[in-house]
Amino acid sequence: MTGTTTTTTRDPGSDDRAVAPDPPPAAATGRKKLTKTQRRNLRLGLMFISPWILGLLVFVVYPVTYSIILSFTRYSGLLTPEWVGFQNYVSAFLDPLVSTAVGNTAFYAVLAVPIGLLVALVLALAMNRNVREVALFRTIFYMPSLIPAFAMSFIFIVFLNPQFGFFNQLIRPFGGADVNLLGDPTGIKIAIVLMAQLGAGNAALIFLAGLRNVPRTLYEAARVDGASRGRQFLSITLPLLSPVILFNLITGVSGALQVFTEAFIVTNGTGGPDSGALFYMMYLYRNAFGFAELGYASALAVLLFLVGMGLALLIFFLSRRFVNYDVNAA
Amino acid sequence: MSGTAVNRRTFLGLAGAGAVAIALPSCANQRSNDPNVIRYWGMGAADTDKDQAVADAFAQTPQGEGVRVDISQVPSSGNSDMSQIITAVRGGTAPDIWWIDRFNTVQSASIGLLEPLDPYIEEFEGVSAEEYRQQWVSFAVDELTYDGQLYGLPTSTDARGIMYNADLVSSIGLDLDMFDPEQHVLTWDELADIAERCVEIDGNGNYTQFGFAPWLDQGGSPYTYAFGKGAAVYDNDATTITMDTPEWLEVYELYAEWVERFPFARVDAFFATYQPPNAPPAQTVMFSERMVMTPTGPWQIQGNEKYAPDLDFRWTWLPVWNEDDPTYTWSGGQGLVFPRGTEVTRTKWEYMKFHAGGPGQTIIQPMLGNLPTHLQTIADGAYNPKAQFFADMLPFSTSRPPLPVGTAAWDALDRARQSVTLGSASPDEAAATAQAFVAPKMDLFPGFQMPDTYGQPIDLTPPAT
Amino acid sequence: MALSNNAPSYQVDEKAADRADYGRHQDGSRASWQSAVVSRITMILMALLFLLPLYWMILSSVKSDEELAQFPPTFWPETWDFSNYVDAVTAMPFLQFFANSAIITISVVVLAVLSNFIVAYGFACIDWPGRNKVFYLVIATLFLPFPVTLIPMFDMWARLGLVNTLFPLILPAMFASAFFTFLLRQFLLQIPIDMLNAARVDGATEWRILWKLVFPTARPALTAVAIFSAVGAWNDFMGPLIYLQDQRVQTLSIGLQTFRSVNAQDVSFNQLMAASVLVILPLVVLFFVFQRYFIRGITLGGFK
Repeated sequence: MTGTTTTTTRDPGSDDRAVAPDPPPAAATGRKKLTKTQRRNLRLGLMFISPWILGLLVFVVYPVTYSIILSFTRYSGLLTPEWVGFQNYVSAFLDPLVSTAVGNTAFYAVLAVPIGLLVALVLALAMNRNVREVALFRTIFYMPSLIPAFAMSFIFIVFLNPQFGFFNQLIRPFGGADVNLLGDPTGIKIAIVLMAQLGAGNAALIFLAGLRNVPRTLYEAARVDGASRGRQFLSITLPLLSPVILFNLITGVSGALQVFTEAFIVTNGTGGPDSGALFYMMYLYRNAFGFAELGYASALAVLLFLVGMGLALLIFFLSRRFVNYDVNAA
Repeated sequence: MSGTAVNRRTFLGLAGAGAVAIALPSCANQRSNDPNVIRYWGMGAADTDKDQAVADAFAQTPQGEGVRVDISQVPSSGNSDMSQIITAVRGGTAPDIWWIDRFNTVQSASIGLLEPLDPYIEEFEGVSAEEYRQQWVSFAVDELTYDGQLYGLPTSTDARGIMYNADLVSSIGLDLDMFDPEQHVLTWDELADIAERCVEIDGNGNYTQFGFAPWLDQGGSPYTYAFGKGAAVYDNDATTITMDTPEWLEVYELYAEWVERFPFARVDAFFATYQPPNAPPAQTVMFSERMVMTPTGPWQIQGNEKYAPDLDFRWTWLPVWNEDDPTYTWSGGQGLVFPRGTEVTRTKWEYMKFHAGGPGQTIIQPMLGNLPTHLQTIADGAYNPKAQFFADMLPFSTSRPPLPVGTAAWDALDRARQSVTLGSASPDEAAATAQAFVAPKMDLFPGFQMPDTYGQPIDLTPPAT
Repeated sequence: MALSNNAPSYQVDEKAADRADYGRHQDGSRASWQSAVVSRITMILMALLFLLPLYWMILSSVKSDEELAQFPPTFWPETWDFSNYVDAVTAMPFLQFFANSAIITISVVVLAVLSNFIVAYGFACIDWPGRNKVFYLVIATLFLPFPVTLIPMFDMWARLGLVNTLFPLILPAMFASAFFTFLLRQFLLQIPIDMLNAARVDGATEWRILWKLVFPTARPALTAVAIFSAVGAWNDFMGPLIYLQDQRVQTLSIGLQTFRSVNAQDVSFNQLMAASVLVILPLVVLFFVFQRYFIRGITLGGFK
């Protein structure tokens, strides 16, 4: 890594536009040849970021490599690993439970990601209102995000229970028969999607950060030009928010692919009725730690890794045309 | 240069912070080296008193003098989730002795999770494992046998039947004689008519009283009825998985027919209402007299005595397809094993032997309501007399097949049943999915043979001593 | 971390700015009373929706067994039965779980704040060639699907003999995380570089600048990191699920779940809800106290 950094002499502006914010003014003054000060700064900089470099090696480079190697073996963690080539990958494609788990996870992602973005955006707009008690609202909207997923799952188990719960009280007046939402393979997925929405506060804060970075002058100028507030939202807020939307979209997709805790607790680790809440991570966990099929589980993890990174890159490149990085231009 | 010195301090600072964090939790990995302490993962929180009773009795014996059994309870039995023990063995924190749901043993042994007992039996008992195992019911030791070696000693066993509330049956106006195991064996058709007459529904269409559904309780696993249809998971002669045979289809069709009569979602809501998950043990649909009958086993007896001593619960056979079909049942139960890495000492062996042998079983089984597997203990009648109906079943009972995919097969059957009852798969599809899940796993054990004694009639005669 | 409000002069007094804006739209126009009412009602409805599950939790936690079993359920407790709280704490080793959670959370917060602050300083306040290139790598790891590391990490901790101890849950915090580094760097970039350079010219070491100059300014962002990492550590489920088997070392998250599944018979819903209230309480208090710094810490740096 040191090699790449030392040979880098200048940060091209176009790269800066990709993900990172604008470089600080000082960075733009990089020179062709490293001066004494620069060498000293390089050494200092690397020292300061050395915890991260160490973390990268121990928590990223080593495990990813190890997983890839393990995925080509049959290994219980107890007996010696046995090289099986692509067998685990072949099995993954034939395993009926993998298709169930992929289906469940896709179902969850397709619902939870867009709904989650919308809810977070609405929350952020509400958090950004200029009302006197805004701090109170911010706290209320963010509070469910503080609740551990396991406690939230307990709450939902009670909330949706036909006897103790609130949910069936809503249906009853309409003459509906009691339903046990958590006993239905689709119902339980929807319940978990709903549960996730209460945790939209984190994404909302990130949106809020974006909203507050939109220069006030743009709105004032728009008003002078006679633009309605709906119009202002579409032509100013959304475009300038697009990098934040992208960030939340990618983390949202990544999170949706890894949905685990809520389903694990609500179903007590079983995957729920008719494996309706058997998400990919749960099946991976079960293979790794429940059946000690570490090779197979590693293959599943590598596949998830590839799909996750693939989707992130895909979203990133597809979004290039829509995402506006010129926030700071104003 | 001052910058360098400062940065050394940076790292000293970081290292210091790390040291604080390390010093804070005083939680070194403690695996006791005291030879007189046995770490034991037991039967479950509700049964700690039974484990304790055995440990106390052991301490009274010459072998157990001064020995302390450290009992802890982890979720292990019931479902097939073995992550706790697997994680513990791999992390080097496993107990010395683990109470295993017996049908998981062969699969656990096949991944290297357990220590074989044969060498210790020879060392400590001076006999061959082959001879030593004669003391227990054969299906129970078969379940603990993999690759010719014994991996554990069996503790309890059981059998399955239908429990019914006799007063409720009478008050509904049904003929009690039809439920008398001496006089009659119910057919599925008869049971369906009876179940219809038991149902009561409120204005919103919710069940407020319910008769029977085959997927409830022990019927949740298709195994329960499979033994009545001759459906088997593995064909020992052809050495193949047979989970999509016509016999299995008939079992799934049974569920499908009943779901049409009694919609699954409504039955589920009935249960979630009157017997919600986490409900206290006294709050069951049987104890609140909302349900007339259920497929269960002798372990139910202790709860009946404790929580509903006034209700007249009785037992009958599992229903048959045709009038003259033979009755059937199957037996589960647990065993004791040494997880891999246990340093097996004479003390630990003596404790396992005591717990799974005559003395331990004599203490535990009457408390549990279950049946002993130790032949002499059965002959001595050391079990709850109310379990006699089940004790009489043992000679023709059998266990789930002892396969290195035993856990996977159990899971697959459970899922297949759920798909059928929830209507997401036809019996054909459900059976095909189960087969597709289990067969490839079994391919890793080509030519596997279950013990010859598996599925044979059981001889309950204790070996001559 | 002592937090005072003596913000340096180059920072805007946000509170005063907010106050001037009450009742205005972003474009500066004054909101009509109708629109003010509509927006308030919408916000109150949303707030109610978000509070509903919490309300149900608290409600269920103070109901007696009989009232909980009552059908249909009551919306306001007939009797306030606080014995559930006592039962929840005594029926399970709640205090042990609580102590373990607290040890992990406090250690993680200290380590995360320190390590991320130092690393972010390296990325934001020292101008070294190539730092932005390296920073892209930080951002790339932000999107790394972590499950791929699950099995290797377990193997590593198992080989070190640290499974069933708190270390696997604490030590990783020593190594800066992508998200926090990102958050802090954005914030630190707001600090005028001239100010830092002036200090350097005066002979201040980087370490001194870090603590004396940057630290006071960065406190809102560090608060955000502290709260985020506290919430993350307190709420972590999968880590404890994998690494902690003995009740002795278990945290609230895994302890409650395990206890619930092992002793399903002994833990009633009202006790479970009481335990949940107790689990949430420290976080809610923490958040409420630091709310203002927290929001400022995140929003000032901005996400771009």
